[in-house]
Amino acid sequence: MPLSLREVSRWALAAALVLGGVPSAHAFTTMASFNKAAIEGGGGGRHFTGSPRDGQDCSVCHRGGTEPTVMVTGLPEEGFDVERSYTFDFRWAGDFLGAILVEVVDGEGRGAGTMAALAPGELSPEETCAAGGGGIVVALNDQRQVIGTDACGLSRLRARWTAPNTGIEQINVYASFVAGNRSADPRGDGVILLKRAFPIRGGSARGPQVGSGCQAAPSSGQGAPWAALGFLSTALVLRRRRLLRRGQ
Amino acid sequence: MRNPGWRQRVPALLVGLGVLGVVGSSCVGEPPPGNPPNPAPDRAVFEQTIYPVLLRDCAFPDCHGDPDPADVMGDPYPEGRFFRVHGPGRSRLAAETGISAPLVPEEVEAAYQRSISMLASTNDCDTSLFVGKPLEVDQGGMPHRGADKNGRNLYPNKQNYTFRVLRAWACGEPIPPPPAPGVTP
Repeated sequence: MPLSLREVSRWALAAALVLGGVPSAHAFTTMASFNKAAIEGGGGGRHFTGSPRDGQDCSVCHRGGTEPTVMVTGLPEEGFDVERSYTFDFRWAGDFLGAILVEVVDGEGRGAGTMAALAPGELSPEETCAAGGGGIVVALNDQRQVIGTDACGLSRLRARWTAPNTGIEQINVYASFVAGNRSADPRGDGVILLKRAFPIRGGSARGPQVGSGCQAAPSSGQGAPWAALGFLSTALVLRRRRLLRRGQ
Repeated sequence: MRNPGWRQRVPALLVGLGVLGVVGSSCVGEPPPGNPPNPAPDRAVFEQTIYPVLLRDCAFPDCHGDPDPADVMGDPYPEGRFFRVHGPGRSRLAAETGISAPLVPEEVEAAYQRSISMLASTNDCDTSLFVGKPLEVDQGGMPHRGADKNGRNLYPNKQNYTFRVLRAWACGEPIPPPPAPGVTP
């Protein structure tokens, strides 16, 4: 007798539980999940780096946890040289399951330069998943490339970025990081977004500047109007409660 | 028996009626000509084409997929948004459904019903909430809290492919063919 799709799914889940232990119920624990169809629980091609062509970062889903700190070195602080390779080095530590997505784009949001993962022989233990492998590069439309990690217990990602040889005067680096609390949903996870702009050597950068060169800082800014709305709604609720109490 | 406090309530009642009148007149405006029935765009196309887009672009927990409308995380819409989309990898319609469990038909149906309600706000699909909300205001869209990290609405202009797909469905037109590979969708 043929099985329905729902029955097949149930059996697959049961098999996964038996064969692989309790799987993480978290939907985006692997880089591959971002390219998976949205209707199957994937990102539908979105990678949530916070860059202009994606728009959102990890905080659109994950929230409620303590904001993590990510140490970053290797960025072209003095400006980038055409066709020169840089090794971006992201490190984090803490009692959480970290995962990061990194992208370099030009002023229009198109990919800038080329991104590569380190060769297996170059990887240190803290940047290697138990099953092998570390950073994974995904190619997207508009020459975009995203490098990221699975949420497999890593505490480091190194990404080798080679500057473009075209007339790009400035690059923007986006790094979106989640500190997962190992729960079954995105609640209770900490998030941080690093945005940095670097000019070609000798130029001057404009645009995103959130986070210093050695430590990512909180994403800035746009919360103020929502905070005002929050204060206003809180005041209205409190006033309503006060009036109701008086009415009793 | 007469209520001894009714005289005190009359002024408040009058003020309330006045406020309702002002709010009502400013929100509703002129009724659509002919009082048209709710539109009923294609259900099959919705399931196959529109719902995946809504899942991808709208159903985030911070947006129209808020898993807990009454949460304590500073959500400015404690009563929950009207337009809600649930599904795999997002918040689920039923709390007992696992986040990664396969699609539940009721989730598609719920999203469909909310979507056609978003079309019923006007007699013209182009000025409906469903079509106007995700489009940039200076391109003919409507104010939308769903600005991304760069302060932009979901779709930058009416030429955006995903916007054209949503609009085509809403307006009962054929879904446009996808752009060539390598071109921004």
